[in-house]
Amino acid sequence: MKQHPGMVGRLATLRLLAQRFAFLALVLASFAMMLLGKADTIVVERLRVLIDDGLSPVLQVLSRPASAVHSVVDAVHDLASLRAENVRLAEENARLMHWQTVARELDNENKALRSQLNYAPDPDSAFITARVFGDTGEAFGRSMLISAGTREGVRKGQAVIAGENLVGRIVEVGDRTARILLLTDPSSNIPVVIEGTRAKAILAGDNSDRPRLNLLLSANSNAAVGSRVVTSGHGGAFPPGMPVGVIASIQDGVARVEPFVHRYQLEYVTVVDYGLPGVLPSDQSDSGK
Amino acid sequence: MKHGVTQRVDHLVRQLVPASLVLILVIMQAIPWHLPALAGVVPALPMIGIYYWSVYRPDLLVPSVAFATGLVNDVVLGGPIGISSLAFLVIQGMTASQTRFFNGKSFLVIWSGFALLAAAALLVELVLDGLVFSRTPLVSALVIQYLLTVCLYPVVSWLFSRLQLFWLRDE
Repeated sequence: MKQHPGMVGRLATLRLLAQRFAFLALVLASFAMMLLGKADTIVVERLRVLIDDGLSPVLQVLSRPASAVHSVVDAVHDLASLRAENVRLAEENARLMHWQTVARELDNENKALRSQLNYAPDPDSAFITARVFGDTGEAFGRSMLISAGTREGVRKGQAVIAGENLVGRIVEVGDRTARILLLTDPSSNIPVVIEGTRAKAILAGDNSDRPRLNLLLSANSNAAVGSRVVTSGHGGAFPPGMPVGVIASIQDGVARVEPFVHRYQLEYVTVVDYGLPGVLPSDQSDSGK
Repeated sequence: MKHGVTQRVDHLVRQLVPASLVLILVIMQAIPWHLPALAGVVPALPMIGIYYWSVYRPDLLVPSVAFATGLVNDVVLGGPIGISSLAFLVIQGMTASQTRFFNGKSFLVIWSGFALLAAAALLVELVLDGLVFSRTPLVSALVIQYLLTVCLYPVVSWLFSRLQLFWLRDE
């Protein structure tokens, strides 16, 4: 019985040692995870997709109240500006009616010309509409989770739009969920042209709300504040002519683009399958499987 | 046979309370709040949970919990995995080594402790993100994230103390 206190003490030290060891092992495991993730292995991607898919029901349920509050706030806002909005819409409607007539004429003319030229049309596109249920605003990257995955036909590299405007592209696909890489993420580089000038550029995200416009040629003179920026279709990820944003500022030779879509507005987005091969290298490995 | 199955299940569930609450915080920060002011920055809520339970229930918030919740956090945020795990382990480890210091201290002291450790954890994330993945954040966004996180500590901590009284009192 005399040994008892000593035993307890030794057990306590042993337990402490084991805890220290576990802590160190986990720190090392964190580093191992980082390296594994950096090597871009399939294991890591599987793990991501597994956790995302598993959490998506919870996230979907919890995001409902948030969007309900959002719509109430919106409704109050709308009520306040109802009259002014009505006038504006009436004007816009008149203008659009005119454009509709023009568009019809052009469409007919286009059809006629195409039939004369034996033009090969762009492939038909398929649309998948999904709800945004995860908006991970952190200081390091910009992405969102949507409630559609392989089951609905979402594939890596597909373009994501809201209305007509580009939001980003799909980077990760699970069974029922997918992750969108937004235009503002640092790893997002999208080939664009400045509308009307044909000046080509790359729209590169850098975590700020307004991504940079890197002109490919020294065609700075072409870029003016207020010019519209649309996708160029180069690289094959996106079809040409998709609206992206307008040039908001040019400072020290750096043009910045204000996207047409703001992330906090997004509730539903459309994933578009244009039947074009994506630029992501992983697309080939996916289709090769 | 007083220690029936129900009692054991009850015990197990209570053991899982801190980890589950941290997971709820992970999910909370990923919900789209549709707030223009928040666009881009969301407070690092899970850090609050890790710190709170490391201070008040170090026996339940063990390193493995910090590691696992960090992993889930990285996946949900879409960032490189392993970084949050390490940041959470930093908070857990530093708190666990100072249990005697934290014992019976006033709320203000504990809050300041969190302010320090949250800065340390965000710094770890900043350095690793930069070194390993060459991802650089906007400094302003990071500062706002830090301030929001520290400011929200009292709220979350108050909620947790209620829950602690409710669930973990008779242990």
